[in-house]
Amino acid sequence: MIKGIWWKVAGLLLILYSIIYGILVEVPVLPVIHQTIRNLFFHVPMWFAMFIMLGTSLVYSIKYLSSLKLKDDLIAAQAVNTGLFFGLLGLMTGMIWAKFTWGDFWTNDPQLNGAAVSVMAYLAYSILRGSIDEKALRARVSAVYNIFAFMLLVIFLGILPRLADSSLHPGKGGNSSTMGDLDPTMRMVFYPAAIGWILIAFWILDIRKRKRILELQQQP
Amino acid sequence: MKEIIELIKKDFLLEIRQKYALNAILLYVVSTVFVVQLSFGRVIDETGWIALFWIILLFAAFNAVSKSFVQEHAARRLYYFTIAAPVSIVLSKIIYNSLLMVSLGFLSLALYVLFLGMPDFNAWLFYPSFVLGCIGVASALTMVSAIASSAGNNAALMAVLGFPVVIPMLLLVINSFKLSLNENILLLQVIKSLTSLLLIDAVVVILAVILFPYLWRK
Amino acid sequence: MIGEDKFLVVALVMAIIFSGLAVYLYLLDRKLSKIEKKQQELLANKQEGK
Repeated sequence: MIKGIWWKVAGLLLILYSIIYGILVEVPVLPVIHQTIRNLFFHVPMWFAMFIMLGTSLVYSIKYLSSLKLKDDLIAAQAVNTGLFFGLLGLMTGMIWAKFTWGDFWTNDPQLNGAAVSVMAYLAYSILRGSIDEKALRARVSAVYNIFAFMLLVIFLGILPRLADSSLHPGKGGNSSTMGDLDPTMRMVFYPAAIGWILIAFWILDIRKRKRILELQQQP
Repeated sequence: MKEIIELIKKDFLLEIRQKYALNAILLYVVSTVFVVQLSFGRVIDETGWIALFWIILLFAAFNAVSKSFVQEHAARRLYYFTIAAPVSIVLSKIIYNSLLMVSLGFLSLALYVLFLGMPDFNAWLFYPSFVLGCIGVASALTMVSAIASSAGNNAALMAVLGFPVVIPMLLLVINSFKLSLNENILLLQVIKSLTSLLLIDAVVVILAVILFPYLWRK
Repeated sequence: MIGEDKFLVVALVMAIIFSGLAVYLYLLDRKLSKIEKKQQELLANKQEGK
């Protein structure tokens, strides 16, 4: 993990900027979504942060299998926990948004199903970790499951939108697209927000990792 | 290669010797199909037909495949470890389970059709995607069963770990089943859905071959 | 736009909540650093004692 405090402060400032400017900026008025489009600055970065975290955990799982250092396994596990946290936040912001634009908390949408399956897979991962006591065995088995599940998940999320002929999410199906031709002023808020949340995700991961290491040192 | 064939033969012999396991699964299929027939009668819409069929087959697959690693005792595992390479062990298990699953699938299909009738499927898409789906589910569950058995043979764990892995495959198969209901489908669509199924099967097998040696060594 | 001041209020409240979370995160980070330092000293002392 990178030393220093500058990137943590940068992440905080970027998010703070996206909160203040994202609420105050003039957004294009689209039918149905209207002002709720501002949720884009908060909802989508959650998924970005989640995927970056799950990717990090995949990298560390592969690293563990080749190095067999328990520290790599610890980071992989904590990255999954952090990713799950962001995934739940993404689900919550998405559900609130859906209630006000599509009229329901949960709709049968390929993106929603994909999100639900990914959260389920990683909850299964934590249950798997909980069911094994021996450290080395737990690390190895969960690393294998992590790689296996992540690969299938990537395929799943890749083919899923193409299978469904309609999606409520923009850019797919026949409704007003916002992601493809995102308004330039919105881009000025969205990208900093995404980068900021990713940095914060790494900070949370760093804190969790250090806490876990301290706990492990205390035990024996 | 010879090793793999020997291992498949061994699995087959074990299955024949412990007939009760296979019989239990068959009885499960018969009774669920019968329950479906009792509650729905012969008239059932196509989507419901597909959904119920795969639910029945999925649980049968969980029961059939989950014992593939669970039934191996620690001592026997050690014995295999000394005589066979892990890659040939996992390949033999995958091939054996796929064969088991395909035959189980066709048996259940026959029963299901007998009790509930058969919608008009396009045979050129229906049967290949059925076989590919069975193979995919069997090989994914083989890997999951290996993971669950190293985590201490918990039956609930198998279900929890298996579902997220199986859902992509199931979705693809159900999608191509629905597609085969269409009377005039294009050849391109058939090829597309079959190749995507083939691709996901290949990925599962390749991942299993790469990852299994890590599970196996102790 | 109608209710421009309400936007300001929302932005302010969200900024305050977020700053609170940020401060919490920062304090947690500092606390961990302190404990890590202590732990390291403890380990060093132990090694010297042996």
